[in-house]
Amino acid sequence: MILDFLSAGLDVFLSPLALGLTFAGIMIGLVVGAMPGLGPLMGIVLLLPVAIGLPPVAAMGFLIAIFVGGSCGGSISAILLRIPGTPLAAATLYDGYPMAQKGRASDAIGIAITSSAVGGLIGGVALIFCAPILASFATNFAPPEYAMLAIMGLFAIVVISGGSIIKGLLAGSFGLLIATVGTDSFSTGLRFTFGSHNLLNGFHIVAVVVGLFAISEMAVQMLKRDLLKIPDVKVARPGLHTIALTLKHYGNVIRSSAIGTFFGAIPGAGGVISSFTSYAVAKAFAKPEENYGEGAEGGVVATESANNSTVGGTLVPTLSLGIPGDASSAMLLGALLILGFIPGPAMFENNPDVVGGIFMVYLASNVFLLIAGILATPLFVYVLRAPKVYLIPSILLLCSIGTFALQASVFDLQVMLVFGLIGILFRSADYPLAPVVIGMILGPILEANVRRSILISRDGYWIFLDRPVSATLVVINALLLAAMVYLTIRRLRATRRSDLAKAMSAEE
Amino acid sequence: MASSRRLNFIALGFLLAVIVTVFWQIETDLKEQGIASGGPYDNAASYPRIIAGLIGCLLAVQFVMELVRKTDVPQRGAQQIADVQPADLRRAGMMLAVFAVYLTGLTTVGYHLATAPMIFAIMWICGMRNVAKLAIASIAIATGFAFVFEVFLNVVLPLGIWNIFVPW
Repeated sequence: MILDFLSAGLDVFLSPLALGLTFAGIMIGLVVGAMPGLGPLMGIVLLLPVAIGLPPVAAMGFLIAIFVGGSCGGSISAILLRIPGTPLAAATLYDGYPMAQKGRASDAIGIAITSSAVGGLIGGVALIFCAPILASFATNFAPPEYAMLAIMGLFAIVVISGGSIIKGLLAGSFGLLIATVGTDSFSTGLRFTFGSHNLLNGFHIVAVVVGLFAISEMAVQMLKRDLLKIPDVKVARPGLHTIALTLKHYGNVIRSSAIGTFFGAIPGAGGVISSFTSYAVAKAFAKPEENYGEGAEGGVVATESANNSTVGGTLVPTLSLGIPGDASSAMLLGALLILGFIPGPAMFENNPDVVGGIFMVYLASNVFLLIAGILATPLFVYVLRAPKVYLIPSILLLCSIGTFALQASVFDLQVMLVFGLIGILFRSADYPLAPVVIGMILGPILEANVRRSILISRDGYWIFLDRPVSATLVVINALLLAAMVYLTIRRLRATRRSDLAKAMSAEE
Repeated sequence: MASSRRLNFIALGFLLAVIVTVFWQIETDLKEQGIASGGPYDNAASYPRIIAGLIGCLLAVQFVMELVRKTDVPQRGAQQIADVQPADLRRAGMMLAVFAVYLTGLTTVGYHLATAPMIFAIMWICGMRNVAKLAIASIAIATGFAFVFEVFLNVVLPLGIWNIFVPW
């Protein structure tokens, strides 16, 4: 079965366009990952309008490669500037920067790139073996199971991603509500369109996402006072010997990649948790003379192999169930939907070439990461020197042309701007943005399957408990809900205790 | 500067306005269309009603939590916005204003006339004062993007009322 997918995918993958765009995606991913404030999600968001006009496998290759390259690129600025380009590389600071301080910046970058590529390939193996099995298991799923899975995806992201649970739920529910705008697919009635023909198909997800993430991020960047500053970065060129240096830590690579893949497959957990966990585990297993925290190669190996293997893990539920693991994979899922494919068991059955093609581009992007990363690092270091004064207008321009190019619609530009303002409001009030996107993607799946479930049910909502898999998912959702209530109460108590302590210290 | 609590209340107010709009639309427009009641097939209002109701409950809880919270310390992400100086805020506001004006005038003026001034203005707001550098950079960025999108991606950028285009 797996070989069938791979051979079907090989035909569509081996085209100059797909190969070229996968390589371009890696280069772009490394650049956006290296630039503090951007990252893989921003890269996917900004280039999504470009990708959706392409053939499916080439488009997915481009976006997945940005995801892979972006997950690794953050390590470059973490090592050279002590500023992680993305939160994924935050744990790489612990040992990467001390290595650079000791004059081993090139080695640290080489190890980070090699670990990322090897970790990504291990995650890819897990993806290729697990996704078809999970999809095959899910072929028996009916609307009740899909409805519960959609709720589980949303709940898991809110619980695991940290921050305020209530704000996460509010953001997710807001996303669910945005998705209801437009023509109802059941009754064909118009919902919340206010008589505007522009809203008949609802908001274009790309316009919403570009506004929420990119425009609000540029506004946040404008608040900083280093807009003209040129970072002082020395060019580092990692050599091929860093591959051997990394492979000396093969046990660490395999263990950290397994941790990364596992956390990737759990919706909401993502690369940050996996990289910190694998760092902690690697440190626990390390000998004292390795000096973790003072420039240990093993520290860089652990974090980087974990955060890139997470990409493979996160694609497992995204492709086989249609449930995204994080905001970046939600964007990949959104791209697949726009390209006309509905992720889930049906895609594995009806479009094995697309599924196989995605497997192939994922594997290839990790190989390209190793090649591009080792050879072109000086280029990324040079990009790091670009002051924000050039970056901000360029990104705003890319946002506007990209969004306009979707359907040559000025309305989409207005939507982008409005959601940019909403994004600024949400950021300033500490509301997470990822649940909005995930809610928007899962919203139609949830609504359609809840309504279909009730239509086929003889006992109303009891249908969700009548079926064993659905009932299990109901129990998991109930547990996640209980966890949310528990975490909210615990955080409220902690806030009260800190308020009390502050009041007492003020009195003294 | 806007306090953390004030920002939270503004966000709560926004979400409240959203759910009020949802219920108002259900009671007016959706009822007029005959899709606000009936079974799961015909009732297009039931799902948004449930979600809006859920948001309402969560808003109430969050509102109470805000009232109970004694300190007004900005939280994680809020800190980067709440701790800024008025000059920083003015810079971000001006950037958004310039960008909004650009988007509004894009179809009238056309990409090739509107883009370079927008980039020039934003770079000026960022603090760059070398006019020659500003002019060269803004024209280069605008032309570079136009070339990539028009030549490689076959996107027809807004021509404006004067139908300005570059025959690459």
